[in-house]
Amino acid sequence: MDLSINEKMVLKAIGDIELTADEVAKVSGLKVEAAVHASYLLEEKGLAAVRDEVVSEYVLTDEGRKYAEEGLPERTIYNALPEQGESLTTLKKAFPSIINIAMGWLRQKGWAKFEKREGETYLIPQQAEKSPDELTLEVIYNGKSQEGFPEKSMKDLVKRNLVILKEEKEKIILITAAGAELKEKGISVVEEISQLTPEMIATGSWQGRSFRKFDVSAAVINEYGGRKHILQMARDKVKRTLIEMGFKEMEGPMVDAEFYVNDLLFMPQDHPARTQWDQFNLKKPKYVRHLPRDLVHRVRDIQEYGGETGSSGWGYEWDEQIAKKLVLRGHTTSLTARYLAKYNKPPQKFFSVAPVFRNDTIDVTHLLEFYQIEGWVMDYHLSMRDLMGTFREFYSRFGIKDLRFKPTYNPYTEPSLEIYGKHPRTGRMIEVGNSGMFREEMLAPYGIDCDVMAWGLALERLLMILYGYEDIRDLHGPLCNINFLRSVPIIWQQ
Amino acid sequence: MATVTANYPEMIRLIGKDVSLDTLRNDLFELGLETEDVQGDDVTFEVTSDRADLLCEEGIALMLRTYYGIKTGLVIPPVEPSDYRIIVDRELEHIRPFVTGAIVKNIHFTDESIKSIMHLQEKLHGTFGRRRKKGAIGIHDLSKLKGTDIHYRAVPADSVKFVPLQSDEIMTPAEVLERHEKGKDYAYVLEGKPLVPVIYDDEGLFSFPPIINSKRTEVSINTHELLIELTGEDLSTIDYMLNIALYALYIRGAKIYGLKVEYPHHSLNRPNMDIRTMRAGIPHINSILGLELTAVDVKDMLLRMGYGIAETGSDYIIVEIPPYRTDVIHPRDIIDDVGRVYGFNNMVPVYPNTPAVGQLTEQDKLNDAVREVMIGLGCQDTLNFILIGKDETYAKMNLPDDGKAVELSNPYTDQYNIMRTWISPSLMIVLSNNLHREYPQNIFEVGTVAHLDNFENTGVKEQDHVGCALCYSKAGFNEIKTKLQALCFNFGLSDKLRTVAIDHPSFIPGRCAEIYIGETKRGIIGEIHPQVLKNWGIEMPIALFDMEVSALKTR
Repeated sequence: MDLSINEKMVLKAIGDIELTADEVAKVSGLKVEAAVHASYLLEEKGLAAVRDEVVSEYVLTDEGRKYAEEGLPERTIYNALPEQGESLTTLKKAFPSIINIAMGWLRQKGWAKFEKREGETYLIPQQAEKSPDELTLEVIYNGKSQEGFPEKSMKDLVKRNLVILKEEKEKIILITAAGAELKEKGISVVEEISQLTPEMIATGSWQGRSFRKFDVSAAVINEYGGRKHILQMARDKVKRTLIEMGFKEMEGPMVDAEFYVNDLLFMPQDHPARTQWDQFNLKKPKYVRHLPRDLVHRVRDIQEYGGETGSSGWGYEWDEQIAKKLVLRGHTTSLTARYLAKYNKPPQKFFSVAPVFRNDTIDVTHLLEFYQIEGWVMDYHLSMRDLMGTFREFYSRFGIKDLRFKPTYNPYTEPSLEIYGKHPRTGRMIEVGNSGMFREEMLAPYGIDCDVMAWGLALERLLMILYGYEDIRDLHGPLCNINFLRSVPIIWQQ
Repeated sequence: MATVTANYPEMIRLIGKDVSLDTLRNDLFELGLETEDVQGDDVTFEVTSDRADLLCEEGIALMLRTYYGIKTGLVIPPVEPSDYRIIVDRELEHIRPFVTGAIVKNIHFTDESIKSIMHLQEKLHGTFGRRRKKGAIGIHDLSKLKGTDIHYRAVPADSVKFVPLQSDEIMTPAEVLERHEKGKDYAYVLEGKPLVPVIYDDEGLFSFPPIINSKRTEVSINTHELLIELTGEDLSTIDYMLNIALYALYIRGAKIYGLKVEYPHHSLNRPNMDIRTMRAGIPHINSILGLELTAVDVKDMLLRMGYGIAETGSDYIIVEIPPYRTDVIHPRDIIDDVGRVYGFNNMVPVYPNTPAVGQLTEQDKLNDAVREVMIGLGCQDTLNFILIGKDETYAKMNLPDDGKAVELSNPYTDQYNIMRTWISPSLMIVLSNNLHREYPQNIFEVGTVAHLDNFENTGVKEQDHVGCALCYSKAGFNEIKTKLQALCFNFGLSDKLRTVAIDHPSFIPGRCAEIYIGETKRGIIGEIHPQVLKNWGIEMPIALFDMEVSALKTR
């Protein structure tokens, strides 16, 4: 039989005589809790018997203790009485706090006779042997055994609130026959090894000793290792997908001139999205320093009358000062606008997954800043079918198939399509992106004579569609729940 | 996006073909209108901002009538001349320079159709009219007008009285601007103008554009003749808005009569139903759509989209653009219409043959590498907003405002009125939102911060920082420096890292240092001051570092 060291110590300590848990602890040298725990383990193995017993004991109250030390009130008064007796009035003056209590008992115990002299009450001392309650009080005070004491005196003391009955549960431990048998065979208590140390390994001092057994099925504390943020994981997967499709990443400023965010995209300067509330404008700094002159001239012509594109333009007066105004970009198409200036000969494929800012609201499905996914392709003879084929490939990597397209309107693409896909879990058709071929008015300032097509969507939206997350604030921003971040399943990292 | 609610049985009547509601909705989807809501017979569609003509059920019905082939080609309402003139005062040039209009007779309103024209008016105001500033429509009962000379004048705002609609009081224009509901809403259009625009007939004032008409010319269900006038800051916009309204009435059987608008130096006949033409190349169409259509195919399709055909050649077509289509300004717009009729969902997607090789930016690769190291050190990655409050960045961190932050002029709230200048406040927000969750909370972020910089073209320098915060009962300087050291070690910079003591109000004095990589200061590290912790309501020690990621770029 396998016994732990504590069990062995307790088994050695107990015997035929019943012992309390405290006694077992004392003999075995263990703490009481450890002794009790070991006793139960022994009981499980049939080597000991443990039962609860209620032990009752009388203990002194504070008042009782006081009188045990000073003497009961009636004894104190009795000791103060002269042979001829004393007047109550005098006694009252001398012992104001106890005289009333003492009077009753003096009378009851017959320790004093009450006489009236000249209208005054006098107390005359009588015989006063030590009364049983005094003896009892003494015994309890001295901690001596309480057995064999007259119940009446205890009752009186309890009534006088000098003593209370305390009941305690105690554990009584007894060895069983099996236990005794085992004990007979001999119990060797050798200290078990708790932690293996380098020294033990080196000296070999572990040999001949045993290791304390662990409860290997017991629970252990949680460890939260470091992990990537869920939106970062999503971003990684999107970037990986686009790189696999041959796209290069773009980079560029978040604070940018309206020229790149809007004007180069053939957006008229009085378009509501620019002048009203969606766009974040800057208090400082207000304006960009330089805009590339040749681009500015060409953009002006095209915006005002279409330049040489065959368009009629917007028919208004274009204001360069508005174009120089600094804003927080509302889409990453501003990066595309910058890259088209540098990469204006095909073939080109670029993407970005980067923050954009919209003065919208913060609620379950909206944030002020979110990640926009944007991809564009430049080549000769690109068609809408190529565009559809490109994002069909992209979405299929995320398990979104069966795409449907709805013609829509963007100021800078024509034709434009909204992309609808089958929700991978609910099966409903939902919008998963926007796309189009860049208008020639947008491409002309760069001297681009081929086609450029683009599409985009919000990263958080993709994440929520794919995994059913309902509150966008859990996925992006510091209003997050750290336990949520800690417990996101690793499924994204494929 | 604007919406329009159409009545299905009414639509069928106007189209002239019985189609099921499902078919109707499906076909409209293919043409670019998404169904937003269905309530019994009323269907609400989303209309994109390029198609003002679809802002009423009459316009949608017209589009479907040609699309279904019931009556293809250009639909131009005949315009008879009338004796009416609008005479324009010269003072209006700097007040509200342009006016246009038409007379419409043979009106038979129903509850449905009168609502439709009223809603159309409001939608046009909200979209093309740019909240009535660019253009505003006034519709009047013609039988209540006296004479055929209409005067468009500029007068002092308190010089004349009339009874405006939705009121019983006689008011001056000034009083209307102050007290009338529409006056208050649209007073901004006339702000700063010394005079106000008004329209008179022989009897007196009957319109105060863009604010309100007079009660005298109020239109009711019994009205049979209308004057429609538009005023605004751009002539082509108001002519366009007029055309949309006229088409909606014409499709219900009204007759249109023109009038003359006499400016100080020239006159114009209105309405302007001039037809623009545009040439589109067939190869161009096929290239953009990826199809192999012939000129005949294209011609048939465009007729079904309400275009007229002026000329076809083997590889080109010259179309006549309907007056209600101002969105058509380039051949691409025609190509889009061909695509819609063909049906984009009928096209077969193909993966393009464009060769290109994929790649990440250097900065991204570096950021990812830093993230990997920090995760390997057992820290939880966070992704926080770049927008933050001035308070969180300065006051709550015990710092004075150094004026270096990029500030928004129209923030959503004060909590998001600047771009963060360092990562640490973002980390503090995360920790303050997670007070009742298990510690240790060791977090980090690699993200963008920004500050003013005169050397940058935009005046703003944006760069990436890495910030790491340890938050638990024994978090101290030793612990956070261990992390910093490990990070630098992973980038081969152990021998370049120095932490030089400094005083910084956010940190406990004597437990704060500047991070030097080589000779330049790249960041800060230390134990957060308990006053700062108190500001954030955090009762657990925090030790953190915050440094530029570019410092880790080796060689």
